Amino acid sequence: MYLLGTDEYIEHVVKQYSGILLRIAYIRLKTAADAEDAVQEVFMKLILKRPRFRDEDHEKAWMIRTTINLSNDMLRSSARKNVPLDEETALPQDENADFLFAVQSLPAKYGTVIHLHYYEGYSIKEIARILTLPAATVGTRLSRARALLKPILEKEELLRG
Amino acid sequence: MDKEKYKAAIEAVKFSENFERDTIELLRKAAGCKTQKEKGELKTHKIVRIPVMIMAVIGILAATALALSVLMSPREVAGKSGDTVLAAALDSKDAITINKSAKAGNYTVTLLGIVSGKGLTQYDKEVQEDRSYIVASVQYTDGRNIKEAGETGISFTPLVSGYKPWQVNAWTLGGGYSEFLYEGVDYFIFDCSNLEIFADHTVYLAACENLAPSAEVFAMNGSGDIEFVKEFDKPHAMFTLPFDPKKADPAAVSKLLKSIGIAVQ
Repeated sequence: MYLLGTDEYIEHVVKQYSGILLRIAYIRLKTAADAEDAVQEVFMKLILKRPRFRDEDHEKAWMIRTTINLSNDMLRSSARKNVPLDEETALPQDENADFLFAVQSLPAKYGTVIHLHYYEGYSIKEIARILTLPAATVGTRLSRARALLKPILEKEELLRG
Repeated sequence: MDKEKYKAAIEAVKFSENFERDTIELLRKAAGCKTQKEKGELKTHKIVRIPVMIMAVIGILAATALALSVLMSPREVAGKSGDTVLAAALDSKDAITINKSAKAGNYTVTLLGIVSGKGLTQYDKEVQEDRSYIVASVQYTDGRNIKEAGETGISFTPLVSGYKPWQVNAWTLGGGYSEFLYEGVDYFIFDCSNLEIFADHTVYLAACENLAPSAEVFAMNGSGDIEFVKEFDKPHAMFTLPFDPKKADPAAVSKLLKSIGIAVQ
Protein backbone atom coordinates (compact mmCIF):
# COMPACT_ATOMS: atom_id res chain seq x y z
CA MET A 1 0.00 0.00 0.00
CA TYR A 2 1.53 3.29 -1.11
CA LEU A 3 0.37 6.80 -0.31
CA LEU A 4 -0.22 8.96 -3.38
CA GLY A 5 2.47 11.53 -4.05
CA THR A 6 5.05 10.09 -1.67
CA ASP A 7 8.58 9.19 -2.78
CA GLU A 8 7.74 5.52 -2.33
CA TYR A 9 4.67 5.78 -4.53
CA ILE A 10 6.57 7.64 -7.25
CA GLU A 11 9.31 5.02 -7.28
CA HIS A 12 6.76 2.22 -7.27
CA VAL A 13 4.71 3.46 -10.23
CA VAL A 14 7.73 4.40 -12.33
CA LYS A 15 9.42 1.03 -11.80
CA GLN A 16 6.18 -0.89 -12.18
CA TYR A 17 4.86 0.72 -15.35
CA SER A 18 7.73 2.34 -17.30
CA GLY A 19 8.43 -0.76 -19.41
CA ILE A 20 4.90 -1.51 -20.57
CA LEU A 21 4.00 2.16 -21.11
CA LEU A 22 7.18 2.91 -23.10
CA ARG A 23 6.49 -0.04 -25.39
CA ILE A 24 2.87 0.99 -25.92
CA ALA A 25 3.84 4.61 -26.67
CA TYR A 26 6.62 3.43 -28.98
CA ILE A 27 4.18 1.43 -31.10
CA ARG A 28 2.32 4.65 -31.89
CA LEU A 29 5.08 7.25 -31.86
CA LYS A 30 7.84 5.21 -33.53
CA THR A 31 10.77 6.81 -31.70
CA ALA A 32 12.12 6.06 -28.25
CA ALA A 33 12.54 9.76 -27.43
CA ASP A 34 8.89 10.57 -28.19
CA ALA A 35 7.72 7.49 -26.29
CA GLU A 36 9.75 8.65 -23.28
CA ASP A 37 8.23 12.15 -23.48
CA ALA A 38 4.72 10.70 -23.64
CA VAL A 39 5.27 8.35 -20.72
CA GLN A 40 6.78 11.08 -18.56
CA GLU A 41 3.68 13.14 -19.28
CA VAL A 42 1.47 10.23 -18.21
CA PHE A 43 3.33 10.01 -14.89
CA MET A 44 3.08 13.78 -14.43
CA LYS A 45 -0.64 13.55 -15.03
CA LEU A 46 -0.89 10.82 -12.42
CA ILE A 47 0.99 12.87 -9.83
CA LEU A 48 -0.79 16.15 -10.57
CA LYS A 49 -4.34 14.83 -10.97
CA ARG A 50 -4.16 12.10 -8.31
CA PRO A 51 -6.86 9.78 -9.60
CA ARG A 52 -8.21 7.22 -7.11
CA PHE A 53 -7.95 3.57 -8.12
CA ARG A 54 -10.02 0.68 -6.86
CA ASP A 55 -7.12 -1.75 -7.19
CA GLU A 56 -3.92 -2.37 -9.14
CA ASP A 57 -5.80 -3.53 -12.26
CA HIS A 58 -7.75 -0.28 -12.31
CA GLU A 59 -4.50 1.68 -11.90
CA LYS A 60 -2.79 -0.24 -14.72
CA ALA A 61 -5.76 0.20 -17.07
CA TRP A 62 -5.75 3.96 -16.40
CA MET A 63 -2.01 4.18 -17.10
CA ILE A 64 -2.34 2.24 -20.37
CA ARG A 65 -5.38 4.20 -21.60
CA THR A 66 -3.76 7.52 -20.74
CA THR A 67 -0.60 6.50 -22.60
CA ILE A 68 -2.57 5.53 -25.69
CA ASN A 69 -4.57 8.77 -25.62
CA LEU A 70 -1.52 10.95 -25.06
CA SER A 71 0.40 9.20 -27.84
CA ASN A 72 -2.52 9.74 -30.20
CA ASP A 73 -2.72 13.41 -29.16
CA MET A 74 1.00 13.85 -29.85
CA LEU A 75 0.62 12.26 -33.27
CA ARG A 76 -2.38 14.41 -34.14
CA SER A 77 -0.67 17.56 -32.98
CA SER A 78 2.51 16.84 -34.98
CA ALA A 79 0.45 15.96 -38.05
CA ARG A 80 -1.42 19.26 -37.75
CA LYS A 81 1.82 21.17 -37.58
CA ASN A 82 3.20 18.99 -40.37
CA VAL A 83 6.43 18.31 -38.54
CA PRO A 84 8.01 15.00 -37.60
CA LEU A 85 7.79 14.25 -33.90
CA ASP A 86 11.50 13.64 -33.64
CA GLU A 87 14.08 14.16 -36.37
CA GLU A 88 16.47 11.62 -34.92
CA THR A 89 14.40 8.51 -35.43
CA ALA A 90 16.52 5.61 -34.25
CA LEU A 91 15.24 2.48 -35.94
CA PRO A 92 15.85 -0.80 -34.15
CA GLN A 93 18.61 -2.77 -35.88
CA ASP A 94 17.03 -6.13 -35.28
CA GLU A 95 16.51 -8.84 -37.87
CA ASN A 96 12.88 -9.05 -36.75
CA ALA A 97 12.26 -5.34 -37.07
CA ASP A 98 9.89 -5.95 -39.99
CA PHE A 99 7.35 -7.32 -37.54
CA LEU A 100 7.55 -4.16 -35.51
CA PHE A 101 7.27 -1.87 -38.55
CA ALA A 102 4.29 -3.87 -39.78
CA VAL A 103 2.45 -3.41 -36.47
CA GLN A 104 3.37 0.28 -36.40
CA SER A 105 1.95 0.72 -39.88
CA LEU A 106 -1.50 -0.44 -38.74
CA PRO A 107 -4.19 2.06 -37.78
CA ALA A 108 -3.87 2.92 -34.05
CA LYS A 109 -6.83 0.87 -32.89
CA TYR A 110 -5.43 -2.30 -34.46
CA GLY A 111 -1.78 -1.80 -33.50
CA THR A 112 -2.68 -1.38 -29.84
CA VAL A 113 -4.67 -4.61 -29.53
CA ILE A 114 -2.04 -6.58 -31.44
CA HIS A 115 0.66 -5.31 -29.11
CA LEU A 116 -1.34 -5.88 -25.91
CA HIS A 117 -2.18 -9.41 -27.05
CA TYR A 118 1.08 -10.58 -28.60
CA TYR A 119 3.64 -8.82 -26.47
CA GLU A 120 2.01 -8.06 -23.15
CA GLY A 121 0.10 -11.33 -23.21
CA TYR A 122 -3.37 -9.99 -22.38
CA SER A 123 -6.44 -12.01 -23.30
CA ILE A 124 -9.26 -10.48 -25.32
CA LYS A 125 -11.30 -10.12 -22.13
CA GLU A 126 -8.45 -8.33 -20.33
CA ILE A 127 -7.84 -5.97 -23.26
CA ALA A 128 -11.56 -5.18 -23.33
CA ARG A 129 -11.40 -4.25 -19.65
CA ILE A 130 -8.30 -2.09 -20.09
CA LEU A 131 -9.62 -0.23 -23.14
CA THR A 132 -13.21 -0.15 -21.80
CA LEU A 133 -14.49 -1.80 -24.98
CA PRO A 134 -16.82 -4.75 -25.51
CA ALA A 135 -14.86 -8.02 -25.80
CA ALA A 136 -16.48 -8.64 -29.20
CA THR A 137 -15.03 -5.36 -30.51
CA VAL A 138 -11.56 -6.32 -29.31
CA GLY A 139 -11.92 -9.75 -30.95
CA THR A 140 -12.95 -8.15 -34.24
CA ARG A 141 -10.05 -5.68 -34.09
CA LEU A 142 -7.62 -8.50 -33.43
CA SER A 143 -8.76 -10.57 -36.38
CA ARG A 144 -8.86 -7.53 -38.71
CA ALA A 145 -5.37 -6.59 -37.54
CA ARG A 146 -4.11 -10.09 -38.32
CA ALA A 147 -5.71 -9.90 -41.77
CA LEU A 148 -4.06 -6.54 -42.42
CA LEU A 149 -0.68 -7.76 -41.21
CA LYS A 150 -0.60 -10.87 -43.38
CA PRO A 151 0.02 -9.23 -46.78
CA ILE A 152 2.46 -6.73 -45.27
CA LEU A 153 4.56 -9.46 -43.70
CA GLU A 154 4.38 -11.65 -46.83
CA LYS A 155 5.61 -8.74 -48.92
CA GLU A 156 8.52 -8.15 -46.54
CA GLU A 157 9.36 -11.84 -46.69
CA LEU A 158 9.41 -11.72 -50.50
CA LEU A 159 11.60 -8.60 -50.52
CA ARG A 160 14.11 -10.27 -48.24
CA GLY A 161 13.93 -13.65 -49.90
CA MET B 1 2.03 -13.17 -37.03
CA ASP B 2 5.06 -14.70 -35.36
CA LYS B 3 4.73 -13.82 -31.69
CA GLU B 4 8.35 -14.61 -30.81
CA LYS B 5 9.78 -12.55 -33.64
CA TYR B 6 7.54 -9.61 -32.72
CA LYS B 7 8.68 -9.90 -29.10
CA ALA B 8 12.32 -9.98 -30.20
CA ALA B 9 11.80 -6.86 -32.31
CA ILE B 10 10.27 -4.99 -29.38
CA GLU B 11 13.05 -6.13 -27.05
CA ALA B 12 15.59 -4.67 -29.48
CA VAL B 13 14.18 -1.14 -29.04
CA LYS B 14 16.54 0.84 -26.85
CA PHE B 15 15.18 3.41 -24.43
CA SER B 16 17.33 5.73 -22.33
CA GLU B 17 19.18 3.81 -19.65
CA ASN B 18 18.39 6.55 -17.15
CA PHE B 19 14.71 6.90 -18.02
CA GLU B 20 13.43 5.55 -14.72
CA ARG B 21 15.93 7.49 -12.61
CA ASP B 22 15.28 10.76 -14.49
CA THR B 23 11.51 10.28 -14.35
CA ILE B 24 11.54 9.60 -10.61
CA GLU B 25 13.61 12.75 -10.15
CA LEU B 26 11.23 14.79 -12.32
CA LEU B 27 8.17 13.56 -10.44
CA ARG B 28 9.78 14.14 -7.06
CA LYS B 29 10.50 17.71 -8.06
CA ALA B 30 6.92 18.20 -9.30
CA ALA B 31 5.49 16.77 -6.08
CA GLY B 32 7.99 18.55 -3.87
CA CYS B 33 8.12 22.11 -5.19
CA LYS B 34 5.11 23.16 -3.13
CA THR B 35 6.70 21.76 -0.02
CA GLN B 36 9.71 24.01 -0.56
CA LYS B 37 7.36 26.95 -1.05
CA GLU B 38 5.60 26.08 2.17
CA LYS B 39 8.86 25.99 4.06
CA GLY B 40 9.99 29.30 2.64
CA GLU B 41 6.81 31.28 2.93
CA LEU B 42 4.68 29.88 5.66
CA LYS B 43 6.62 30.81 8.72
CA THR B 44 5.02 34.22 8.79
CA HIS B 45 1.59 32.98 7.77
CA LYS B 46 -1.27 34.80 9.35
CA ILE B 47 -4.87 33.72 9.12
CA VAL B 48 -7.21 36.42 7.88
CA ARG B 49 -10.79 35.75 8.83
CA ILE B 50 -13.51 37.05 6.55
CA PRO B 51 -17.29 37.08 6.85
CA VAL B 52 -18.27 33.62 5.70
CA MET B 53 -21.88 34.39 4.82
CA ILE B 54 -20.94 37.31 2.55
CA MET B 55 -18.51 35.14 0.64
CA ALA B 56 -21.03 32.33 0.36
CA VAL B 57 -23.57 34.70 -1.21
CA ILE B 58 -21.00 36.00 -3.68
CA GLY B 59 -20.08 32.44 -4.57
CA ILE B 60 -23.67 31.46 -5.18
CA LEU B 61 -24.23 34.49 -7.41
CA ALA B 62 -21.09 33.71 -9.39
CA ALA B 63 -22.14 30.13 -9.93
CA THR B 64 -24.90 30.65 -12.42
CA ALA B 65 -27.62 28.11 -12.91
CA LEU B 66 -26.58 26.54 -16.19
CA ALA B 67 -27.56 22.95 -15.63
CA LEU B 68 -28.10 21.46 -19.08
CA SER B 69 -29.47 18.03 -18.66
CA VAL B 70 -30.82 15.98 -15.84
CA LEU B 71 -27.78 15.03 -13.85
CA MET B 72 -27.57 12.19 -11.42
CA SER B 73 -27.98 13.04 -7.75
CA PRO B 74 -24.92 12.73 -5.49
CA ARG B 75 -26.32 9.48 -4.12
CA GLU B 76 -26.81 8.09 -7.61
CA VAL B 77 -23.27 9.06 -8.61
CA ALA B 78 -21.76 7.24 -5.63
CA GLY B 79 -24.03 4.26 -6.24
CA LYS B 80 -23.07 4.12 -9.90
CA SER B 81 -19.40 4.18 -8.91
CA GLY B 82 -20.04 1.10 -6.80
CA ASP B 83 -19.63 2.76 -3.41
CA THR B 84 -22.87 1.93 -1.64
CA VAL B 85 -21.61 3.17 1.74
CA LEU B 86 -20.87 6.62 0.31
CA ALA B 87 -24.19 6.56 -1.57
CA ALA B 88 -26.02 6.08 1.73
CA ALA B 89 -23.95 8.85 3.37
CA LEU B 90 -24.82 11.25 0.53
CA ASP B 91 -28.47 10.51 1.19
CA SER B 92 -28.20 11.16 4.93
CA LYS B 93 -29.17 14.29 6.87
CA ASP B 94 -25.47 15.21 7.17
CA ALA B 95 -25.08 15.51 3.41
CA ILE B 96 -25.41 18.86 1.62
CA THR B 97 -27.08 18.81 -1.78
CA ILE B 98 -25.94 21.81 -3.82
CA ASN B 99 -26.61 21.43 -7.56
CA LYS B 100 -24.94 24.69 -8.67
CA SER B 101 -23.43 25.05 -12.12
CA ALA B 102 -20.83 27.39 -13.58
CA LYS B 103 -19.37 27.78 -17.05
CA ALA B 104 -15.71 26.87 -17.56
CA GLY B 105 -14.70 27.52 -21.17
CA ASN B 106 -16.73 25.13 -23.30
CA TYR B 107 -17.75 23.14 -20.27
CA THR B 108 -20.36 23.41 -17.56
CA VAL B 109 -19.14 22.26 -14.18
CA THR B 110 -21.78 21.32 -11.61
CA LEU B 111 -21.17 20.96 -7.91
CA LEU B 112 -23.73 18.36 -6.90
CA GLY B 113 -23.19 17.69 -3.22
CA ILE B 114 -20.90 17.07 -0.26
CA VAL B 115 -20.74 14.89 2.77
CA SER B 116 -18.07 14.80 5.48
CA GLY B 117 -17.21 12.37 8.20
CA LYS B 118 -15.48 9.13 9.12
CA GLY B 119 -16.00 5.74 7.50
CA LEU B 120 -18.14 7.07 4.67
CA THR B 121 -16.73 4.88 1.95
CA GLN B 122 -16.54 1.14 1.61
CA TYR B 123 -13.00 1.54 0.25
CA ASP B 124 -11.75 3.01 3.52
CA LYS B 125 -13.30 0.79 6.17
CA GLU B 126 -10.04 0.04 7.98
CA VAL B 127 -8.54 3.51 8.09
CA GLN B 128 -11.76 5.36 9.00
CA GLU B 129 -10.30 8.72 8.05
CA ASP B 130 -12.25 11.91 8.63
CA ARG B 131 -12.80 13.16 5.08
CA SER B 132 -15.02 15.26 2.83
CA TYR B 133 -16.50 13.72 -0.32
CA ILE B 134 -17.49 16.17 -3.02
CA VAL B 135 -19.58 15.05 -5.99
CA ALA B 136 -19.34 17.08 -9.20
CA SER B 137 -19.88 16.74 -12.92
CA VAL B 138 -18.42 18.20 -16.11
CA GLN B 139 -20.27 18.34 -19.42
CA TYR B 140 -20.10 20.27 -22.68
CA THR B 141 -22.26 23.38 -22.51
CA ASP B 142 -23.41 22.91 -26.11
CA GLY B 143 -24.85 19.49 -25.30
CA ARG B 144 -22.18 17.40 -27.04
CA ASN B 145 -21.24 14.18 -25.30
CA ILE B 146 -17.88 13.81 -23.61
CA LYS B 147 -16.43 10.69 -25.20
CA GLU B 148 -13.95 9.59 -22.60
CA ALA B 149 -13.61 10.16 -18.86
CA GLY B 150 -10.88 12.72 -18.25
CA GLU B 151 -10.77 14.11 -21.79
CA THR B 152 -11.65 17.61 -20.56
CA GLY B 153 -8.55 17.78 -18.37
CA ILE B 154 -10.65 19.42 -15.64
CA SER B 155 -9.61 18.61 -12.10
CA PHE B 156 -10.59 19.94 -8.69
CA THR B 157 -9.00 21.42 -5.61
CA PRO B 158 -10.47 22.83 -2.42
CA LEU B 159 -9.05 26.16 -1.26
CA VAL B 160 -9.62 28.04 1.98
CA SER B 161 -9.77 31.81 2.36
CA GLY B 162 -6.86 33.18 4.32
CA TYR B 163 -4.60 30.30 3.31
CA LYS B 164 -2.40 30.59 0.25
CA PRO B 165 -3.69 28.30 -2.50
CA TRP B 166 -0.27 26.73 -2.96
CA GLN B 167 -0.24 25.86 0.74
CA VAL B 168 -3.73 24.51 1.39
CA ASN B 169 -5.04 22.60 -1.62
CA ALA B 170 -5.86 19.14 -2.98
CA TRP B 171 -2.27 18.00 -2.59
CA THR B 172 -1.63 19.14 0.96
CA LEU B 173 -5.08 17.97 2.05
CA GLY B 174 -4.44 14.47 0.69
CA GLY B 175 -6.98 14.89 -2.09
CA GLY B 176 -7.77 12.47 -4.88
CA TYR B 177 -10.68 11.60 -7.09
CA SER B 178 -12.41 8.90 -9.03
CA GLU B 179 -14.38 9.60 -12.18
CA PHE B 180 -16.58 7.86 -14.66
CA LEU B 181 -18.50 8.75 -17.77
CA TYR B 182 -22.25 8.30 -17.97
CA GLU B 183 -24.43 9.47 -20.86
CA GLY B 184 -21.78 11.92 -22.06
CA VAL B 185 -21.27 13.51 -18.64
CA ASP B 186 -18.04 13.11 -16.67
CA TYR B 187 -18.85 12.52 -12.97
CA PHE B 188 -16.29 13.04 -10.22
CA ILE B 189 -16.09 12.04 -6.59
CA PHE B 190 -13.32 14.10 -5.02
CA ASP B 191 -12.21 13.37 -1.48
CA CYS B 192 -9.76 15.00 0.90
CA SER B 193 -9.28 15.74 4.61
CA ASN B 194 -12.51 16.94 6.26
CA LEU B 195 -13.13 20.49 5.02
CA GLU B 196 -15.85 21.28 7.54
CA ILE B 197 -13.20 22.09 10.13
CA PHE B 198 -12.43 25.21 8.02
CA ALA B 199 -16.10 26.29 8.09
CA ASP B 200 -15.38 29.62 9.81
CA HIS B 201 -13.55 30.58 6.60
CA THR B 202 -14.84 30.57 3.06
CA VAL B 203 -14.07 27.15 1.62
CA TYR B 204 -13.88 27.04 -2.16
CA LEU B 205 -13.89 24.31 -4.73
CA ALA B 206 -11.85 25.37 -7.78
CA ALA B 207 -12.19 23.48 -11.04
CA CYS B 208 -9.80 24.02 -13.88
CA GLU B 209 -7.77 22.35 -16.57
CA ASN B 210 -4.58 20.64 -15.39
CA LEU B 211 -4.69 22.15 -11.99
CA ALA B 212 -1.47 22.80 -10.11
CA PRO B 213 -2.26 25.45 -7.50
CA SER B 214 0.28 28.23 -7.90
CA ALA B 215 0.54 32.00 -8.03
CA GLU B 216 0.13 31.76 -11.83
CA VAL B 217 -3.36 30.36 -11.34
CA PHE B 218 -4.71 31.81 -8.08
CA ALA B 219 -4.45 35.12 -6.28
CA MET B 220 -5.40 35.98 -2.71
CA ASN B 221 -6.26 39.55 -1.76
CA GLY B 222 -5.66 41.30 1.54
CA SER B 223 -8.93 39.99 2.95
CA GLY B 224 -7.96 36.42 2.24
CA ASP B 225 -10.40 36.14 -0.65
CA ILE B 226 -9.17 33.75 -3.37
CA GLU B 227 -9.85 34.00 -7.08
CA PHE B 228 -8.35 32.93 -10.39
CA VAL B 229 -5.80 35.42 -11.70
CA LYS B 230 -7.22 37.48 -14.57
CA GLU B 231 -4.55 36.24 -16.99
CA PHE B 232 -5.46 32.59 -16.45
CA ASP B 233 -7.12 31.63 -19.73
CA LYS B 234 -7.78 27.90 -19.36
CA PRO B 235 -11.31 26.70 -18.57
CA HIS B 236 -12.02 27.36 -14.89
CA ALA B 237 -14.78 27.81 -12.36
CA MET B 238 -14.95 28.52 -8.64
CA PHE B 239 -17.60 27.47 -6.14
CA THR B 240 -18.01 28.11 -2.45
CA LEU B 241 -18.92 25.21 -0.22
CA PRO B 242 -21.88 26.01 2.06
CA PHE B 243 -20.63 24.55 5.31
CA ASP B 244 -22.25 25.37 8.62
CA PRO B 245 -19.82 27.74 10.43
CA LYS B 246 -20.74 25.97 13.67
CA LYS B 247 -18.86 22.95 12.42
CA ALA B 248 -15.57 24.86 12.34
CA ASP B 249 -12.89 23.31 14.48
CA PRO B 250 -9.87 25.62 14.78
CA ALA B 251 -8.02 23.14 16.99
CA ALA B 252 -8.41 20.42 14.34
CA VAL B 253 -7.28 22.93 11.68
CA SER B 254 -4.11 23.73 13.65
CA LYS B 255 -3.42 20.03 14.09
CA LEU B 256 -4.00 19.32 10.40
CA LEU B 257 -1.83 22.23 9.24
CA LYS B 258 0.92 21.16 11.61
CA SER B 259 0.75 17.61 10.24
CA ILE B 260 1.30 18.87 6.69
CA GLY B 261 4.16 21.14 7.72
CA ILE B 262 2.36 24.48 7.74
CA ALA B 263 3.20 26.74 10.65
CA VAL B 264 0.33 29.01 11.73
CA GLN B 265 0.87 32.00 13.97
